[in-house]
Amino acid sequence: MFNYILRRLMIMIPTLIGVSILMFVMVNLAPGSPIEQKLQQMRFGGVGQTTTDTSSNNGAVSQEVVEALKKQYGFDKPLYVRYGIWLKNLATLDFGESFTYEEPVMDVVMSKLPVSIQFGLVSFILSYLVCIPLGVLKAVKSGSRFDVVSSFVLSGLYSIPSFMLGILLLVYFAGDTFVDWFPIGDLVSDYYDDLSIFGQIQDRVWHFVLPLIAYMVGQFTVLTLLMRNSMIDVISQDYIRTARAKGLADRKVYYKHALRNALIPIVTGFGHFLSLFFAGSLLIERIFNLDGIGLLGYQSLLERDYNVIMGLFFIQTVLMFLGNLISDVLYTVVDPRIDFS
Amino acid sequence: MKKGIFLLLLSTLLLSVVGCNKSGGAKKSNNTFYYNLSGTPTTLNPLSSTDAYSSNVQGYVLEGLLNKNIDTNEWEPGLAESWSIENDGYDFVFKIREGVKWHDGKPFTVEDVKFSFDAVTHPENKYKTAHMKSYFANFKEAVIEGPRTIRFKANKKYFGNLMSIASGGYLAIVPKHIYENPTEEEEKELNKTLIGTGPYIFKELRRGKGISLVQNKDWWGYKTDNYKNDYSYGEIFMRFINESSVAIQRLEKGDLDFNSLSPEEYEQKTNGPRWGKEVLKVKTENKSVKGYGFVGWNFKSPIFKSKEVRKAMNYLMNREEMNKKFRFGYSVLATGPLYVQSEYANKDVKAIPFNVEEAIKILKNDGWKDSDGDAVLDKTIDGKKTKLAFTILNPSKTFSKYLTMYQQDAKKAGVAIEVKYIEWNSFIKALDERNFDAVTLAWSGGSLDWDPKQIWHSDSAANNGSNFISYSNKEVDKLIDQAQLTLDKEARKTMLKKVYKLIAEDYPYIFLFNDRYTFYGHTERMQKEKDTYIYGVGYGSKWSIKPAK
Repeated sequence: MFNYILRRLMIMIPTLIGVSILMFVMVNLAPGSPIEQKLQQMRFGGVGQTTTDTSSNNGAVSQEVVEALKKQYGFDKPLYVRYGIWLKNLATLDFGESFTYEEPVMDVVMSKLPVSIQFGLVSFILSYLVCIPLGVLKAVKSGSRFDVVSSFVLSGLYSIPSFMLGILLLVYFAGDTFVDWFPIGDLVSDYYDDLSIFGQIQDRVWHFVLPLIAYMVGQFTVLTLLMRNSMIDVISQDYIRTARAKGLADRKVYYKHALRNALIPIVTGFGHFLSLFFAGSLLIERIFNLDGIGLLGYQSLLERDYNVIMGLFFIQTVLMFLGNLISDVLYTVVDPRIDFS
Repeated sequence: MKKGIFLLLLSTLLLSVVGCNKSGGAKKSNNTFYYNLSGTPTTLNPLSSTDAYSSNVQGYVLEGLLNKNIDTNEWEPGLAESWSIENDGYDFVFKIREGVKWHDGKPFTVEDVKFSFDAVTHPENKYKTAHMKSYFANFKEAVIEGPRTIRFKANKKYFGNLMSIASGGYLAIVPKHIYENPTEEEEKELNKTLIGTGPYIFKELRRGKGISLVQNKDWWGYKTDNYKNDYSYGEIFMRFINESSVAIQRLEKGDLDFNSLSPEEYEQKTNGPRWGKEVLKVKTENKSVKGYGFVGWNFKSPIFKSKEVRKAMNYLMNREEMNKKFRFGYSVLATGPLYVQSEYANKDVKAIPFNVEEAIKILKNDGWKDSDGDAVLDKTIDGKKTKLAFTILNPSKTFSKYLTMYQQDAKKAGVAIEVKYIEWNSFIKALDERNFDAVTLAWSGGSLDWDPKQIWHSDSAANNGSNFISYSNKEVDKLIDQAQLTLDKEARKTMLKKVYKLIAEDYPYIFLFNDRYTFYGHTERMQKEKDTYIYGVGYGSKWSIKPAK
């Protein structure tokens, strides 16, 4: 087992380098670079904004300015040299400086992380806590009215795009249309710092409810149905039928013998909990005005903030690889038949 | 165990729902003006920042040498208490105000003014100010002539020179002792803080939430007649709300005190029960700069070299109907390269009406006919059969509905238009490479004093200039160059009105709409002298908060 993990980790290094070269080239070849972003800002006032300041007394941006910008951002060097520098810096976990924020990429990412960790973690815990029991219950009562109705509700929820659900929640639960129970946007109130510890927790939860619902609903459905179907599969297996025929209590059969095996497909997802620290949803973050990773990734792409894009990409890839590895290891824990060695 | 955790989570959620009813809306400070900044500033450093969000914040904290009066548009004393233009318009001399202090308590001196100028024009770009350099290209140097006097020397005469050095929007005065030689650590800090002399002191940047500024009670302006009633609120809290419908909802709830509105929002999203009572909406007219959208033709395309084709394309655009349908009739039809309300706009130029018959006639006279019966006109240009078919590149999804209408109308005259939505960066690339038939874009108003050089001069067709359609008219070039050197406003007006007419008659764009009104919403607790000032709404300074009852 140890050898297996070591081998997997070793393979990860060349894979990562290969993928990063690919990504680096792709990012750099896309139309528009940080230099052009700055030039655009000078000419049009920023990304996606179709404006200009006609009071500029120069007809055009001079070559001198373009050269100065290139030097400022290190674009006077060829692509492979820049990749080399990037790779070298990576050894010290330095992803360079964000062109937009003018601070180290790590600092930018860390500043957005709290939002993402909160959502990732809570939705992860909640969805497993709800989905596993619900899926099992649905499997046990398969075909009953409860099963049909809950499937119907879950599919209904799944079919609503999360951003639309977000807007609906805001309109109905945080405004004039229906009830005004929740605040709109932000993670805490303006007066958060003045609250007691309990008040702060309450304030956070209060702000958390709507975005969390919008964020989680999709995952809920998939996970519940996965659990249900996996459980039904297992229940219909011979050894379960044998166990029941032998007169073992249903409870014992389901929860002791069937559940463990039914959990195998669910365990796959467990490894990805690492990525959840980095979870982000552009649309939810936008609607609820949250400053998280999703929005950062999107803005960086728009603004061609190469270093942030590469940094996010790299961290996410590493987390994904590690997640897969953990999933595989977990397999062996829940299913002794699997042996990687 | 699991059940326990689940119940705990559930009960916390329920508790919070019950709890929130009691706490109601946000506990608000009565003396704070809540305002929407729309987005988070990327960096607050006034030397290197390029985004509009930062300049909005900087506008409260930093100052320029002079200010523009919001009602008369005349220059008024700012950090300089007097100024003069000498040496036939080449030299600008400012005498700075005495007794002004930076927000950190250090005295403001003429050295700071010189440093600010030297920083933005630094030849090696030490302060990352490449983006500002073009505004100061006409200047040679800044010379300190006395403890309170500084002279800026220009090497080129230009009517906009005073603007570049006097306005805080161009040359914001920053403290030398902080920005001159920061350590790496300090430099990082400078991205997140601001120190100026202005009416508000930077207090705190809360990521994902907002920026708060507190009143600078020692501000020199409070001791002058001009500004003594301005900036009367104790604190400003600028929120970062990007989604406009969310911003409106928060305005309704009182989380924001002011939010500008689009015509659609004004018409359709401001009808809830709180409007007219707790929240008020305003539609108002003023003389502030207005931009316009346009469809621009590439003058290098064989089709659009013909002025007749460009003219016919204008007749095919049903702007009257679009204004009614999509803009609630709130816009005026643009007639030329500047908003029609401007004093530089030529009032003799009339808007081109929608007239398919006229378009067909013009195209016929220009030699276009449908020779192969495919319902698309064609003509032999340079020995090659060319169809009147082209693509309009469009970077804005919201504008697509206008173009669809245009496409349908053009079809009636035998013109085949394809509209292609294209992502902004690719769009800019196409512009830079001059690789397009036609494009749609919008210019914002810019400065009240018009300088058409950037967009309409032949020189701007090269070098990433904004004349990406390669428009060229010798007479226009000559007049623009002449106007740049003319300091007398009336004489400049006469020249630029001619420029306006000449450009309009060349049909380089379809000039679309100019806004007529400014729309905004504000909470009832905010007071104002009037709906608008001649050159702006004045939310920055002229509002006050009603005293609590």
